[in-house]
Amino acid sequence: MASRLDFYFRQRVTEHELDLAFDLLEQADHDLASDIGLFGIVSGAVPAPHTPIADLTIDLDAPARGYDRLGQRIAYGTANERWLAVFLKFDRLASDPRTDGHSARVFFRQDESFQLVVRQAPEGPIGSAPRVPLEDGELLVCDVLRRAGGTQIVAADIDTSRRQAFVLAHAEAVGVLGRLWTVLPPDVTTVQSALDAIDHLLAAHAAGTALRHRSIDVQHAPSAPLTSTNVGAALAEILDRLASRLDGAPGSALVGADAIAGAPSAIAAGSVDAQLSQLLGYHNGHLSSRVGAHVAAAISLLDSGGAFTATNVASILAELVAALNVDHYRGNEASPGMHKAIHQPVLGSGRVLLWDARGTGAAAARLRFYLDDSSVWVTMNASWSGTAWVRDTADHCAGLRLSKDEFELMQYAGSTPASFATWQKRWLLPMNGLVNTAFETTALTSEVGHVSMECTNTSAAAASIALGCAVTFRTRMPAAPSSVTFTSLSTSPGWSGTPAVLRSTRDGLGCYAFNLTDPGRAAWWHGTFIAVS
Amino acid sequence: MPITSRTETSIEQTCAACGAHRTIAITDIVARTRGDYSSLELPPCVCGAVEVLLPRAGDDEHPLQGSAAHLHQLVVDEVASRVCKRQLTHKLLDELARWLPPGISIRRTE
Repeated sequence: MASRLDFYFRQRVTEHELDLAFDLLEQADHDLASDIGLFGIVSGAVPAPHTPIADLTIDLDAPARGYDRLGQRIAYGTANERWLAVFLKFDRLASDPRTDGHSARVFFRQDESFQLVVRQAPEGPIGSAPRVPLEDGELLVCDVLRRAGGTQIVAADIDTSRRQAFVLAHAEAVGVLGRLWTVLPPDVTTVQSALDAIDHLLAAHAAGTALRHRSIDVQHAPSAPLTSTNVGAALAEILDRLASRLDGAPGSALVGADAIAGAPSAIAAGSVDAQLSQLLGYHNGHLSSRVGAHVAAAISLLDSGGAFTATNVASILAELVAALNVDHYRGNEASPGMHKAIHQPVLGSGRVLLWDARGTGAAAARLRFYLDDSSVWVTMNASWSGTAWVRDTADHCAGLRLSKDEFELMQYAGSTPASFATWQKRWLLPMNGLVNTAFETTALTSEVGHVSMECTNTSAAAASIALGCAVTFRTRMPAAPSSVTFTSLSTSPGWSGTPAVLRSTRDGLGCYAFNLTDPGRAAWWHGTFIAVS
Repeated sequence: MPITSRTETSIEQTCAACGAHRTIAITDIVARTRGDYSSLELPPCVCGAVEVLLPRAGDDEHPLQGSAAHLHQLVVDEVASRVCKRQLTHKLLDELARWLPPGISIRRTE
């Protein structure tokens, strides 16, 4: 709000009173800015060294605005530009002053002269300031551009695009007869339109978009080895020569190439044909001879699997030899490639695979060697999964195991199951056991053996004589047999009955028989037994 | 496997010598005893072979429990009790109930 003045009807207002009205409003405006603490440069007025050449002044950027402590606004806008126009104007130069009959002073001579008139156009934003309008009684020489802060007029500031040069007659006012023209359009009736059409065609011709010369219409001065006299024929001749496959005159012999430096081989400057020949010579020499070929150290290997430490063939071969030489004979030694003693590091825990041999490729005959904490296992058609034995194919599988104290044979007949934890049949030789002369079986077993018993009645009368024998099994059965089957091979005349079993254990059995025998005669039973346990 | 299955009155037998199969009545099986040892003699097979069954003399536990050898021994012990008309022991009855219920046959491939 501001203090007010209440002017009244028919008041004679003084200058002071009018000024006071504005002063009150202005003071209110300043007080408002001061009361709210509006102080300082709001934007712009950033100082910088004067350009283009630094001097004892500085440049402030524009626009800028701010308020002083009295609340007074300080602001200036963006720099503008202004066009000046320089005109030549006719004039007369009076001279030879005389006094006429009215006692007035006149100039008797009125010679032709001129004036230089400089007019300025209104100021405007840079790039869009208006220009000075033309005057009928004056000739525009040039326009001059002035910008704020400029102290020089340089060539770039002088514009002669509007210069009013001498024109005898405007081309629009001069007619032409173009009826017989073959290129220009028929609606061309004036010099100006003809020149415009020609300019259009010439521009298109220069740009190659229309009215192009045919190559056969362009003259060519023959120069060896070309003989054609126009460009079209010369190009065809060049193509023919470049495409030539004639011995001794190939097209590549016409194409030059500069020298190519290199080591150990370089190529001299010459034709492409000569350089190709030189390259082929180098290449063939490289392929057919070790001399000049790559040294192995200069051949790299893309080791995507990360199998080697080295990165060139020579070092990799050395790495291979160093690794293979531990367990193999080298190529320059006797028995090259053959194994020495096979060394293997710790391969893991549990039961680890040492060797896996496929032999002839028969799946049921696949051979494996395993080693665990106590035994060596040799298997056929069975692999160890970590928890069970797994058949390679649906067929019998077998194995043997050797430890410090035991030797064992194993088999699992049939084609199922696909995997198992315990072998179906096992023959164990306890090398460190109390009984260590026979295998102990841990499977259903049939033992086949021979039984013979014979006796003679030495008495004087017929008598029932007793015969007996014992057999020992080849292997120790898991338990005493539950069945024995006797088959006779030979019996004495009059023999009756079958041997009976007296005792049986896992190691053998005893058997006996009674037979009524004449005096002085012998009784016998020879046969086989099959014991099942 | 000589005996493959059994009923109350007969057994099914396969001859170990020739492989012939036949059914033998319990009453055709002859018990032979000498001292404290008993055995059972089956009728001769057509091939002339004679099978002698050997029941266990004591209560020793078979080392391969559940195996075909064990099951065959159980059948032999059961047949011996029937032939000799002895009462089946509780131990044998328990073993039979566990390992060889009626109708179960013994297969050598086990």
